[in-house]
Amino acid sequence: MIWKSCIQSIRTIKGVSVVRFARMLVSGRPRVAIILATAFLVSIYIADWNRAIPRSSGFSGINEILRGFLQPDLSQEFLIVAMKATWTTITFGTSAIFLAIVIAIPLSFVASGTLFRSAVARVGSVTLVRFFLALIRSIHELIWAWLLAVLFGFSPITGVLALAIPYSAILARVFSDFLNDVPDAPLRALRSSGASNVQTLLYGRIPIVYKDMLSYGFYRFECCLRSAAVLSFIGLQGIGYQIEVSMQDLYFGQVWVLIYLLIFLIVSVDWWGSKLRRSLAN
Amino acid sequence: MTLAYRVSDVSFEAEGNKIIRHVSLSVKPGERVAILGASGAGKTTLLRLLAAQIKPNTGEIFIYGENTRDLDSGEKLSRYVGVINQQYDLIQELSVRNNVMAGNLGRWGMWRSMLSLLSSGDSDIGTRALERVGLSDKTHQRLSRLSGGEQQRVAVARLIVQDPLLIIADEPVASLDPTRAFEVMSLLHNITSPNDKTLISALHSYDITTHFFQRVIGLRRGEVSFDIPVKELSKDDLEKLYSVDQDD
Amino acid sequence: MRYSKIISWPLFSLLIFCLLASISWAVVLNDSNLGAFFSGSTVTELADNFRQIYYSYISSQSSPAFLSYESWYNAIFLSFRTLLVSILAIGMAGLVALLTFASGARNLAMGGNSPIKKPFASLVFYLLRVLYTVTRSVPELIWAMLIVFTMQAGIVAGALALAIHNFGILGRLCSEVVENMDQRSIRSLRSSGASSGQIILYGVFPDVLPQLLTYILYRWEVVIRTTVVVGFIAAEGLGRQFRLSMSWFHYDEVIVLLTCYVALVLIVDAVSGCLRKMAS
Repeated sequence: MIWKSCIQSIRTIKGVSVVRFARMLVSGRPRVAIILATAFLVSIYIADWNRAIPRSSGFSGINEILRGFLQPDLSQEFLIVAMKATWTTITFGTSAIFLAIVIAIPLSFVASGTLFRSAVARVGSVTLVRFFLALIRSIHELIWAWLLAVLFGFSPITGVLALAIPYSAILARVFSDFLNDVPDAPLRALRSSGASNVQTLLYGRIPIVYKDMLSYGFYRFECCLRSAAVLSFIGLQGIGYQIEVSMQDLYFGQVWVLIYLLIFLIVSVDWWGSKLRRSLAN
Repeated sequence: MTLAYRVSDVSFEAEGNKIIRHVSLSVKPGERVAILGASGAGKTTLLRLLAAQIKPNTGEIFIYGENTRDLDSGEKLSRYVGVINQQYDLIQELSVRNNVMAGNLGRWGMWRSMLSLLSSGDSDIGTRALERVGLSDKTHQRLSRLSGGEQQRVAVARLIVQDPLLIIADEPVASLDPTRAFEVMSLLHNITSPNDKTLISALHSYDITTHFFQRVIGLRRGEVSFDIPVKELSKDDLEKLYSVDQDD
Repeated sequence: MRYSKIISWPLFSLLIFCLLASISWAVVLNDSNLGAFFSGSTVTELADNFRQIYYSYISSQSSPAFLSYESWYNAIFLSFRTLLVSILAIGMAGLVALLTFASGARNLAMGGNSPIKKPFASLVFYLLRVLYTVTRSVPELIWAMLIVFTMQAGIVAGALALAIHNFGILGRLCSEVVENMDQRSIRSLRSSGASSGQIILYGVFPDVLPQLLTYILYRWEVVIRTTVVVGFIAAEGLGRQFRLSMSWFHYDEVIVLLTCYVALVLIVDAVSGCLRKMAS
């Protein structure tokens, strides 16, 4: 039985003609897959795997983590601390994404080039703004946080700004793409009835894209909360800060409770987002 | 001689609606049977019961003497029954050839199935099937690039490769224009008739029914309204079949 | 359902969100001691900060780092290592997501088409879903902290932290693609006699793999940004050097590192966009 399938396999393999394989290399998708696979294999080869071993204290560390997992710290005093930290994270994240959206919307109008009539002004402003947006969003929010902290010192407002700045750039870029992708046909009708550029924007594009914008904005809200949790590493309050504190004292029971709270937070927002998306789709 | 099909007092209901009520019939091997009826009459359900994709609530269906309740989809069933639908039978992302060779999946193991995706195999059953349906020039194209009529011909080619004893067709040509419909129907006729294979097809075209089939069954609200040779089919029968009842 | 007549769910959500945002802003502004912020002292503080930063270049270095070839060379080398970590991470995440998404799709698991044998299919499905949710909800940095606690810091530790988080994201995205697929093609493959494994090979993979490829390229852009930050903790690449330079107040080195970081991110964005275009 195995022998027969071996013979069959060999016959089939002979049928894998060189021409077919070459055809695969030329067409786009398999080529990309091959490029990525090669890059991955190269990276596996170069990485220093001899450091991928547990450290000397590693096993006891795993022990501690497991112990904390099985015995979460549900004491009232700690729960209060944890809830406070969660609330702080929520306030940071929400404030930041709110500000980011408020900034991103007008920014996206400019970045999409849908405001200007003359081609020169449009291309000029678009490339300039997009370039700046690309620069701003290429810097991770933690690094923004650090930069702002160095300049302005630690305070909640710096944390919120550190999140809001890159997120507004991301949102602006995506929103402007949405605005640009609106098909021309419905807009032509508006323009022929005399609407100016701004009016086309308000009456034409926005009603078409607002659902996508809401949906994406919510997805970023979820990301922003995660970032807010991590932001607290550099000294601002929040879940991440508490996790670091508890970890330093090896109270993994507390660490897991904080992780659970974070998961609950993210899952709730995600659930809210999907409900929203579903109701928008109807 | 074993009957291809023996359907005995079969009923099927779903979500509280009785879709098939007490249907009994039998089909001899090699017969070509057309099933006519209005939408909602239960044609698709009946065909799915015959193809053993769903099991009757009451009654039994026997395919060549085997109870469909014992036949779960898989290798054995695929040797008995091949199915072709109106659309969506095939994998849009795969090439024409891979879609056709999928007819062999009942016979192949996993390893062979994987290898086949890569091979370009000249002169084998797949190429012959494609020749028969007239699509050899499109062997390696992605299926999504073919027209509706061409895709249905690929589905027929897959049936050729699968080589079942019976073919169940659920409105296979409903979305094609008359010329293409005729082409595809002829193909189905040519692969079943000469080999004594049974063809059972749901249709809504009178012309195709009279041209290609010997026997016609009328289905109305889940019951067999008539079961007669095609020659005896009259427009009256059709009117009664498709009429909307007062108490509907 | 009655409520939808009075006020629609999107509007309701929007109101709740604005309420939450207002409360959040109130809290933030309250805690930030804005009085001091907006008074003149901020400006003088800012000026002081700048002066201090400026002096720490001049007073501490004879030649600022951004003018020396060596520091640029070093930074570029670190950028390569960071790139390496990102490729390793996204590759691992993609691979494991590829292996598991079929079992994590509701229509396959419940419909009897899962690659796992009957009795365990639902169990594995739920387990995988929980796994996806947990791994993607916890940010990469926290994973990094846990990993560095048990394993030696380095390339693999950082890549692992990133991979774990992104595995959840990719796995869930792919499962959703499968769940949104047209069921009819799958059913018709069954009628050709295909087993579950063959159905997945011929019916599911051709649809999901191209999507997975696009998602991997999109995530790579995000991962490269986070790799630097994970490097803070996993002591690797640009991140590690960042932390060191920061702690010694060598802001000139920081400028070099920042420039390389931005360049790296922009390059990866460009390459990813190019590959995505090739793949469509």
